[in-house]
Amino acid sequence: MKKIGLLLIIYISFGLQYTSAQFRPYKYHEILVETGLNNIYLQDLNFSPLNYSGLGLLYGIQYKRNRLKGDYFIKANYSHGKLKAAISKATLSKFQNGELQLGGHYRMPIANKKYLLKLGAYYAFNLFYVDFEEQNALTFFITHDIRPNVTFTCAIPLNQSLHIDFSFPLLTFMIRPPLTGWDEELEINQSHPLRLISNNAQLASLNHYQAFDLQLGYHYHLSDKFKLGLNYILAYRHWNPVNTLEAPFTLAQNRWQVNVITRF
Amino acid sequence: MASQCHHKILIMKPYLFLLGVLLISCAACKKVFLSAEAPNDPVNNFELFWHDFDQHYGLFLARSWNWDSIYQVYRPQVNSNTTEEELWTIFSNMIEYLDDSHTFIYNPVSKESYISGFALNNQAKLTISESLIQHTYITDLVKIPDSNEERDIFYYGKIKNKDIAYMYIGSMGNIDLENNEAFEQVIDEMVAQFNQHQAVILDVRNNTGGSSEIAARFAGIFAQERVLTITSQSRNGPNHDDFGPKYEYYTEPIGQSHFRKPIIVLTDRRTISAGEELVLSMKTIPDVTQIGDTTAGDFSDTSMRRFLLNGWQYQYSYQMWLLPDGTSPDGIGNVPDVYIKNSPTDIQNGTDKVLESAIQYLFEVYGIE
Repeated sequence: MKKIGLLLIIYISFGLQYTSAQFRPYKYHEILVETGLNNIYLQDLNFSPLNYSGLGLLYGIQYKRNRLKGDYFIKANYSHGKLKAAISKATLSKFQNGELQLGGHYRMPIANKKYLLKLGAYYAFNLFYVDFEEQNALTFFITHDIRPNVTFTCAIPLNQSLHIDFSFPLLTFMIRPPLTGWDEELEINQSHPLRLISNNAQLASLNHYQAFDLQLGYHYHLSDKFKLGLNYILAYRHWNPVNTLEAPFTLAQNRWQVNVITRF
Repeated sequence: MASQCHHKILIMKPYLFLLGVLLISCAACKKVFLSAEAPNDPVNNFELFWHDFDQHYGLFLARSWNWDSIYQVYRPQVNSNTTEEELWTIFSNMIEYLDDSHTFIYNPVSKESYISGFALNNQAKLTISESLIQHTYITDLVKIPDSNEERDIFYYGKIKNKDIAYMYIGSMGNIDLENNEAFEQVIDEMVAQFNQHQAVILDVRNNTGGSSEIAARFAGIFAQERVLTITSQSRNGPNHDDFGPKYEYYTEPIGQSHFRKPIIVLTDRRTISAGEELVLSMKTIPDVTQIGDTTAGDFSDTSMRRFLLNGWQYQYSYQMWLLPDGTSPDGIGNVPDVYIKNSPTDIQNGTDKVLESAIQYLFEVYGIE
């Protein structure tokens, strides 16, 4: 354990000599680890006529391979917490949210090395699940998205950078509980997660599903190898189904995250 | 001078940026994204309650209920001045019409609940005594461990001075079948005991239900072949006859240990839901006789817990179960082959007439004593 700590200190110290917040196109691997708070607002008429709000913890990890012309990445995050309606504590429920993203970016040519603009796209899997009193009531949505994505990063003095990231789903497959909230198929498939996340997926057009992720970030470059960051993400999902018997939902998440990024 | 000023602006950037983040996150509040809830008043709660049943309840067709008539009777009784107590009474009366103990309303603040059609079922609570059975009628008692601390849910033994095994199942819950190898071992030991006798009395009186899987597991001890028992369909549309695909459920042998001799199943009005499912399965098996009272007649699975704007909760049946001949057992229950029931006085006097009748039946019909 001491050896690992010593190696880490040497690694960081070595990196500190090469600190720079300017962006040069070169190849590297990058790993991001993050944690934070997730403040959510939910209205899901399949679950309840009441509006819910709550707070949870969030954890995330990302691997990115940066190339001369862009990057590709895989990212996973998970958050869990509690939410309730204002009318009563007896509405207290638990939520879990898992996301997996897989995609890449193309680096746009910009003469000024202080700015970095990337355009790209990624596949996103999203599972949001709410459970009231050990499945006395539950609701969920599962989406499989293709999202265009733009990121802009600006280097500023004192080894700092600011970051804006925006994406929205262009093509979505949506999975929701049945009209009654539960049916025989869910019961049969409850121990088959792959079936649950793929069966009965319906294509959700932009007319019926609107969503976006807006991320604003700040990074302090400890070295060429390490960055510390603060992120705010506003994630919005609104489903207004074609079939009027299905229940609409709206989910808004405010996420405040701290992260550590290392390059190698 | 201009360069210094530019430098200051650059240094200020992160702070301006963070200020922007703060402003956006403050603006991103509930009111911005979520449309307002409907006002919490008696009329809105009534409309929500009635319409939810109208669109999701599964037994209107099977039981020929006229839900529109309920609206016509009770809607005029509700206005913005209706008190909480009055609304509770109205909702209780509305669901009482459905006579379905899977349907209830619950006030989480006062902890009060009202279960539809349960008053008659609940009378049977006083017509059986665990203590009387264990001390007067059976010997070699073995209690099967479960997670219920209030009463003995599962136990078995032998009828005193008779070549008859006895088993009591008081719930279809409190056992985790998927992660319970010990439970399978218990079943093997129990069936080995049963097989030392000429018959089994399976007592499911006051079995208030639970898991269909547990019911199927117990039936699997006695089943001799795979037999279609029931089909279920869930509501999937606005009309009372809108249902999804039909799913078939079978009674079939499960596990290594089986019992293939005469069986008596004891029931009462408080044999409910998965308890009744077990009885339904047992009645597909040869040499099974049901003795006691008719079961509750509440088969369809219950919905998710639902919420009202005032915080009350409720639940209802959302399926339609049909027997292989296409008729619905909901509202009817399992009718006994031999009808008999205890009164509370019988129990107080130390007599379980239903159990004694089963012993007598085994002697008269099979010569087992």
